[in-house]
Amino acid sequence: MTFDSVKYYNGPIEGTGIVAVIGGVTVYVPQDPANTHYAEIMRQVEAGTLTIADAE
Amino acid sequence: MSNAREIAQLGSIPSGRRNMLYNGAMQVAQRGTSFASTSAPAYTLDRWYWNSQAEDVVTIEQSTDHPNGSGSSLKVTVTTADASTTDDYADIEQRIEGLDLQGLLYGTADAKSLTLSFWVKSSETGDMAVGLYIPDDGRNIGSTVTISSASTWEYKTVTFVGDTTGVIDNDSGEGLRVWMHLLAGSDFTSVDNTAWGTYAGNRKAYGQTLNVIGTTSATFQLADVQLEVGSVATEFEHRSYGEELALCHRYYQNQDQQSLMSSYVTASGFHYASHDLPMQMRANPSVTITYQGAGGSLGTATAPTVHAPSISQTGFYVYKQAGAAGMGYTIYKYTTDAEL
Repeated sequence: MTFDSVKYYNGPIEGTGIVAVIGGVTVYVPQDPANTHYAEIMRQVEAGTLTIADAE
Repeated sequence: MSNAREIAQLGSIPSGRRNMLYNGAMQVAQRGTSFASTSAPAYTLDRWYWNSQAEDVVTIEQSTDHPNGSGSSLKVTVTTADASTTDDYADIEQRIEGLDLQGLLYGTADAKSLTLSFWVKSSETGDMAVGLYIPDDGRNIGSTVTISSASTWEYKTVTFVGDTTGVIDNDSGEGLRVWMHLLAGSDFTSVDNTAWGTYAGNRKAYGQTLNVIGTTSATFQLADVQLEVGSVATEFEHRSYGEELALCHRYYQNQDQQSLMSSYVTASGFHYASHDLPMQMRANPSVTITYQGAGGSLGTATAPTVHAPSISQTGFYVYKQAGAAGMGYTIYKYTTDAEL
C-alpha cells in the first residue's frame, strides 16, 4: 500500500488522530491494530520507510 | 441417481448456509461497478481483492455476462500487459475472517475438507493455480484447474483436505485466504503445494501455466464462486441481495445518501454530527468524507473532519468550524472501511 502522506492531527476535542492520503483520497485512520490501514502504516514506520508527520 | 445414493449424498452435505464466501454472485458493488486503470492491489466488487504484483494495468468490472445468462460476473480486462513475469503474480482473492472459520476445526485431527467451485471464462487457456492460505500460521495448499476452451464458460471444482496442523485464530483477523491466479511467474510455481505445508513464495501457485496478464486485451471472468465444507460441490447458494449487502457491510459501507450537519453556532464555533453505522464493522474503520455542498455559517466548501478518536465499530462523529455566527449546513457522503 502506498501512502501519499500520513500525519497526526488534533481536533477541537481531546485526542489525536491520523489522517492519510492514499491515491489522492483523504482517509481518517483509527489507531486500531485491527484496522488494515493503521497496521500497514505502523508496519512501514517500523520498517523505516514511512514517517508520520507531526500535527500542525 | 438412485434414491438411496441421493439420500446418502445429501447426508454428507452440511445443511444451512453453505457458501463461506461473501458476494460469490458478484452482485454487490458498493465501491463501483468499474475500476479502470487498476495498477495496484485493491478491493473491487465487494470482498473481492485484486492482488497484482506485476507491472500490468487492468480494468476490473461487474459484468452482466454470466454462465446462466442472467446475473453478474467479475471481469478483468488487460489494458497494459506485463512483459516480464518471472517474479510477478496476479490473483483474485477473498480474505475470510477467523471468527467465521472455527467450525473447520483446523489444527485438529478432525479438520474438515473444503470444496471450492466457480465458473470461469478466460480468453487465455492453461492451468490455473487456486489455493488456500492461513496467515496466522503461514501455511498453504494448492491445486490447479484447467481452462481448456478460450472465451467459454467452464465450471470448476477443487477439494482441499483440512489442515490438521495449522490453527486459525478465533478472532476478527484474517483467518483464511482463497486465491485464484491469473499469472504466476516461475518464482511462485516451482515447489509442490498439493499438501498443506509452510508457505513460501515458490509454493504459492504450483502448476500455474495460465497467463492472462501477458496479453493486452485478454479477459478473465469469475462467477458464482462458492467455498463450502465437505468434498462435494453443491449447487451455488443464492442469497438475497439485501442479505448479501448486509454481510458485506461488516467490511465496507458506502453511505451514498447525502448526510447533513446543520446547527446554530457562534462565530468560530464548531458544528458536530454523529453517525451510527447500520452494521457493526469488523474493526474500527477508516473513514473518508466527500464534500457535497455547504451554506450559511458553514459555507466554506470543505468537508467536515472526522474526529479519529471517536471512530468505533459502530459509528463516529465529524466536526467543522464555522466561519461566522448563525445557522449553517454542510452536506457530505462517507465511506467506512474495515476490510481484511
